Amino acid sequence: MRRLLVCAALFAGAQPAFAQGGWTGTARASVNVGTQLDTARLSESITLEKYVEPTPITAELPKKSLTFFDGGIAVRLAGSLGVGVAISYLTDTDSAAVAADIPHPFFFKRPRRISGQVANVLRKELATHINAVYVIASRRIDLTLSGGASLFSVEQDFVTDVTFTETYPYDTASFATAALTRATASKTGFNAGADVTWKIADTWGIGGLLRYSRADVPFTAGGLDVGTVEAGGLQAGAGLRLIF
Amino acid sequence: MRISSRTAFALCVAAIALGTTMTTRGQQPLAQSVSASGATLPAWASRVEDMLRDGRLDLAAIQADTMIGGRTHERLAQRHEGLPVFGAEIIRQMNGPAVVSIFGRIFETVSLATTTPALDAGAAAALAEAAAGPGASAGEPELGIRPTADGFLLVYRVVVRSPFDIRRYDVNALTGAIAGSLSELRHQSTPVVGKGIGVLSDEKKISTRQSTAGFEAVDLLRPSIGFTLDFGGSIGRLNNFLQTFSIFPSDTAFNSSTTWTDGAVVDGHVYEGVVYDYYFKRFGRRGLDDRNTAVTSVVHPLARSLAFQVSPSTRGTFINNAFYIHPGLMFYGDGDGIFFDYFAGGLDVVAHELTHGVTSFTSDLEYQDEPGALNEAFSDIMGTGAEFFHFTPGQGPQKGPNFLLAEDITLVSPGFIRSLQSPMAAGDPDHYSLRQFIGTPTDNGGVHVNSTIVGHAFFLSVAGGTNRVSGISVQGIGTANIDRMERIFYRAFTFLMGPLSQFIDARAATLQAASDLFGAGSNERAQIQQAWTAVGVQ
Repeated sequence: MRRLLVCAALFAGAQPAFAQGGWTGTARASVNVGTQLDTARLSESITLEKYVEPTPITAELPKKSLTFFDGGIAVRLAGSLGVGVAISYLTDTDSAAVAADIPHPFFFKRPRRISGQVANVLRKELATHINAVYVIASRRIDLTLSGGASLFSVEQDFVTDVTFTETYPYDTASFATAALTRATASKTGFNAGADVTWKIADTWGIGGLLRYSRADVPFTAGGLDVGTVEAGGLQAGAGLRLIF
Repeated sequence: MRISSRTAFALCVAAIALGTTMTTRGQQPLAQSVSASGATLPAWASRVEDMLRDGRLDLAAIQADTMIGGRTHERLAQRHEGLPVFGAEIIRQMNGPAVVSIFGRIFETVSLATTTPALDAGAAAALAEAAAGPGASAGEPELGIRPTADGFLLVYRVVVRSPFDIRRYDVNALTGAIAGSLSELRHQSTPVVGKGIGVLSDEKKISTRQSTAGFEAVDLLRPSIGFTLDFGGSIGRLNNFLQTFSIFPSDTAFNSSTTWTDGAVVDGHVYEGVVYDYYFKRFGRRGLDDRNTAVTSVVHPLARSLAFQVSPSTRGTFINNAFYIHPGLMFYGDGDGIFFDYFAGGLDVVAHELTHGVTSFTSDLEYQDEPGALNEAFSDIMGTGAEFFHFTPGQGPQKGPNFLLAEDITLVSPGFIRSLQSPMAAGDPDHYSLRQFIGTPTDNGGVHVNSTIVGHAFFLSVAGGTNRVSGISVQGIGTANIDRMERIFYRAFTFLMGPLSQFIDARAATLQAASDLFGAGSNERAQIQQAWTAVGVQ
């Protein structure tokens, strides 16, 4: 949230330089690097069957801000309106917390709680944003407003089983490891954003991006319905701007 | 054989701390009861050492004490001129090099005209087979000395399998006469004719083994592998088994899916595992022999539908009965459906039978007269303990946990075969003065009937109450603490007693066990002492 406030302050600070006008060029491009705040990584709950009883398993990776890379181009159609396409990408690998209630092999309703960590849980997110673009230009600063559809392609590791150790009399069990299954799924969502460009020269400048995008992506992994994954989030970034 | 002149010697050095003596009751009047700790211990410890040195005692086995660290229990078998004196054994409890207690029964003197047999082992086996009847097959005879009320006999001891019995014969090694015989089958109940309903149908998990075509009732999850065989009620299969003692893979109970529907198979198999759990968790014991020996249970030995096509004796043995064959083989009858349901359906029944195995591997209480009643009583007590261990009060179709025996599979009034709480409710004695059949062939000298005197003492020591005959009240340690009394009895019966122990020895052993586990001044010791007094064993 603090980074978000910093970005907002940045835009607020740039506001006094405006002398409002229209978009006069034919196209503009941007390259950004930044942070996607509170990115969902893994929050999974599945139920398998072990020892003839349901066996609930959960896997959790807390939300985290991740670095993303973004590039885009917008073409003017008429006046200050145009269309644009932008692609953003992020990847992350981390350890997830796994927990399960393993049924007792001899008795019903005597589950044994196990928990542990599974390493190298992958999350990749590639989003293609197709937007309508509106540019408010001035001599030094341009403000670009955009919104449209986002096609998310998410590659995600899911916990699809757990292995555990147990010895007679089996009153306790210990987590050994978890089986990971990698799956990919796509879903269309939406995005809305604003871009501020400080024109250092007529053809280039630097700028800042603030974008919110979101889709709930349904997954199956290893034959299991592992639920939906939140894709996207609030992105704040900065980078190079080219003006044509 | 002529026994040299000797005086019947029946001393019981009971009353542990006081070292007083009293006369032993019951059979085996020649046996000297050893019950030594405290002041009486040094003299006996020295004497035992002397007997070990001169060969009159032989170290037969050492048991690690699973209840008190550092303790061991040595089973010292009496020998005479190198031959075993059958049943004569004392148990020396050791704490490192120090002797803690000595219990058991041995013979002060043993004298025989000769220790050279007139018969060879083969001839003895043939005589035993002839005595057992057609289809009998003898095992390897062992030459030894049989104590009797009149003296000692040189005998061959041989186990003979016949179509419907497994019996131990003592063949006089000089004359060839049958000096005695005893069935190795440990009966849960006497034969009863009746009709009834199906087995209990509560849902439970069953540990099985996968095979190429389905699943087999083989428990591989416990350290002791448990096999459950299904004879399918076939009289031919049972006969074949009794004659050859052979078990085939095809006997193993089988199911094509993981959902088993044969209640006798399920209960026999599952409860065998529960009893293993009970012994392990309560006492640290690993199976019948404490070495995880495999256990085999047989269900449907004879079909219920044959109940009225076979003789009453056969029905009473293989249908309306459950029994144990040493080492590690259990039979659970189908019940005739009138008096009894499937015997495997009673956890206390299963625990009772398996406890016969524990006894055979430990005290080996002779299955006759008072030692036999102690054998039965210990099985009843452990059967009751297993119920309290496994069942939640008020839940499930079982009527337990309680102090009744076989209440889950008894279909007729009074709804159980024995009661530790009120033995008279099933016509069994609740006081030592009422014991029956001692010294007679009936019920092997009343092994089932008289067991309730001991079982009632256990009940009183736990739940409290007033003995009907003596009028003596016992406060009890409370049912919530039943595990403590179970531990006392387990310790006494598996570590501190021998094959010829009498009721009075059981009293002394349980007091010693209570002192060992909870202290000489403990309430547990006081309650069991009062309970024994209440039932007239003092």
